[in-house]
Amino acid sequence: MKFPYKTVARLFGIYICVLIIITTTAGLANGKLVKMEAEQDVITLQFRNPAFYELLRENATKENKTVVQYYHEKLVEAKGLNTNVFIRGIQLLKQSWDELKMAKNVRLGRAVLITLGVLLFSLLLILCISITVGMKIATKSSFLNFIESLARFFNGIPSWWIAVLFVFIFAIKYNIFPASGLMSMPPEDGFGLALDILKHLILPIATIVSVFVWEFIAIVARETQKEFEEVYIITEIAKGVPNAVIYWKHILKNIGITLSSFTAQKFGEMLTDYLVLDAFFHFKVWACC
Amino acid sequence: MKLNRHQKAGVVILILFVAFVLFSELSVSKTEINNWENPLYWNKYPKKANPVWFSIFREQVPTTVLSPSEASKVGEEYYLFTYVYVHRYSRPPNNIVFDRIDPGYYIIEITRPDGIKIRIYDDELKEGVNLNTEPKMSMQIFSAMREQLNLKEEDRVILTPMKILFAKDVNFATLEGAYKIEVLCNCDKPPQVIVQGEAYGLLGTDNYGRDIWVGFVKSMRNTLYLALVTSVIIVVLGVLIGSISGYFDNELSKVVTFLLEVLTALPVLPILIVITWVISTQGMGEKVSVPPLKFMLLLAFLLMGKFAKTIRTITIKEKAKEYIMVEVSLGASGVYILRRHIGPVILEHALRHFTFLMPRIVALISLFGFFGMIPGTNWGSFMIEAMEQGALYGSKWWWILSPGAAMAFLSLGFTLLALSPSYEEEGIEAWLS
Repeated sequence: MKFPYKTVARLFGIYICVLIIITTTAGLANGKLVKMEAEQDVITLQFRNPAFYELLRENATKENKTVVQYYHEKLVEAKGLNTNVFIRGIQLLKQSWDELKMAKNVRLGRAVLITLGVLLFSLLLILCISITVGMKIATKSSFLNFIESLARFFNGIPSWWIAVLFVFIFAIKYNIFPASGLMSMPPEDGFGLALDILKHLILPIATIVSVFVWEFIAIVARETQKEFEEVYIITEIAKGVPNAVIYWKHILKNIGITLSSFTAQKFGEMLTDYLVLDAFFHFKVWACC
Repeated sequence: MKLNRHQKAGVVILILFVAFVLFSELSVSKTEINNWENPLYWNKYPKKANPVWFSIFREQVPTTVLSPSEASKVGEEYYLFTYVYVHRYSRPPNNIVFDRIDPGYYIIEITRPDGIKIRIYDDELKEGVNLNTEPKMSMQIFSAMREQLNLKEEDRVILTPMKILFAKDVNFATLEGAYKIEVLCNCDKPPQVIVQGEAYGLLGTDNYGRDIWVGFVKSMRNTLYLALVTSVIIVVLGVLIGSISGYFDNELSKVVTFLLEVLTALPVLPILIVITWVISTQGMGEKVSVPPLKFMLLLAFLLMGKFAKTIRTITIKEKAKEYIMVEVSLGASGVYILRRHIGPVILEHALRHFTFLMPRIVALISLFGFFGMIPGTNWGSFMIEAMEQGALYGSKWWWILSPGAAMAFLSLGFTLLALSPSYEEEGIEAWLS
């Protein structure tokens, strides 16, 4: 098989462009940050150090600039910032990364671990439910339509509102699950701690699952329907091969390809929703950001 | 076009939703909407009041804004305004507020249902006044009712003026009936008299006394406006860019296709947040403001990639059909083919995509608002305020549920509307793509 140079080059080009856009956006943000800093400094200097402000004003007038413009230029020079917006973006990204590593309230490894833990657990649940239910309803079109409607319906509901609803019902009204935090205070030991964390994670996981599971069920059901129309499956059925074997050996294997690409596509959305839930449930794993 | 059962239900729901939006718009005044973020405007309203419909299920004294039942001129300069308040509850109201005061000399008297007349105020007034915070008024009430209710000196601190004013006997049972409030003043217009109860407005009031219904309407207006215009921009841009880049096979269309793929690969959320902040204006002590049009264009630009790509694919598929190839060989122009043959197919998909897009953008805007990523009042910021004021833990479910219920209703309407037979055939992949 010939190596797909063109496709790889195209993909490379796309992600280079994405990187350029991200860096340029960071550069624009850096520019605004410095501008705001200059404006605030000039106002402060006006009251706290009028003599220095006068000096700035004289120099600015000589160069036919406003005090803020003049001070801004000097600030850019003093901070060693580049005038090119792209390079300035790189400078800001580097600075942000250094600050993230230094931040005391964020333990990067722990944050990534918890985020991935919640997402993977949710994903696992979603996949289990969607495969089980999706394969069952594949031949029942009314059920399938209902599930697809639910998928569309949940598309228009923000995840935070579902979280609010869950907290209101299960934490406040019936007091079954904790409303926020990652663990009880003081923390328990050993197996008790694991159970406690799990108990705290049930509502966020339930939120993610209830938002995304419908789309996954619908995809599995539609793909299963397609598979059942394939000649080799019809042959297998005619041969009298048990349904369980057909599902396990053929259908699951084939829908796995679609499902994995769909999962990869949805992972970004799930990550965004997790960040929302992280703030809502006060996990504070990404507290600095 | 014949609609199926689901679509008819969807249309009914959307009509009801539009009617609800119109009713809400008419139910609040422009002044109230403009003053939603100004707590001073709301200080005359009861704080933390329950919705007025609570009175149906349990006894809650509603807040009543009184209008003068009589107005007569007394002498050359003075006017006498008479207000009647009928109290039929076992608990007294929380306060009586005299607002929209024209500076001048005021004599205010209250006649209870049992005939006791209390002159509660006799002095100059420059601004609004209320019974609970004006010492002269509470002193007058206390003195007038002292003997009747057998009040001791310490009761001045323990009992509120309202409890004394509405007390029937020494056991402080509430005296029901008509209370006459007379205001004699050398003013041109009557003051507004508000009897504050425990309930006010359709959704109650918050900690500042703001009518939550006003906030709901304001946030609904902003959210729907942003979502509707953004969805329309996405559809228009997507149709134009997708169809042109799909039909014309030249270098420019290749560049456009590449850019669409870049757009699809962009992490929309962080970029949107940062650029929104960059284009926002903020002065010392001023609120952050983002020009709505700029925000909508930015959001539409970042989100249109997938849709434009789908339109492009549909255009390429349609273009490859035999009847179109025949038309081209007969000399039909590209614009003609796009308008006459490919246009209707694209339009159908675009309309269907709109029913998917609109509730999604509403959810997205409320998400940004919830985390304060976009300035202005929207369902997200409305909700975060509810949380900050303890609505969730204070079991004020009507405050928490209202924006989500509206979003769910809108989403349900569009979901049912989109359930056309062709959608059922194509399945979820058609719109997930």
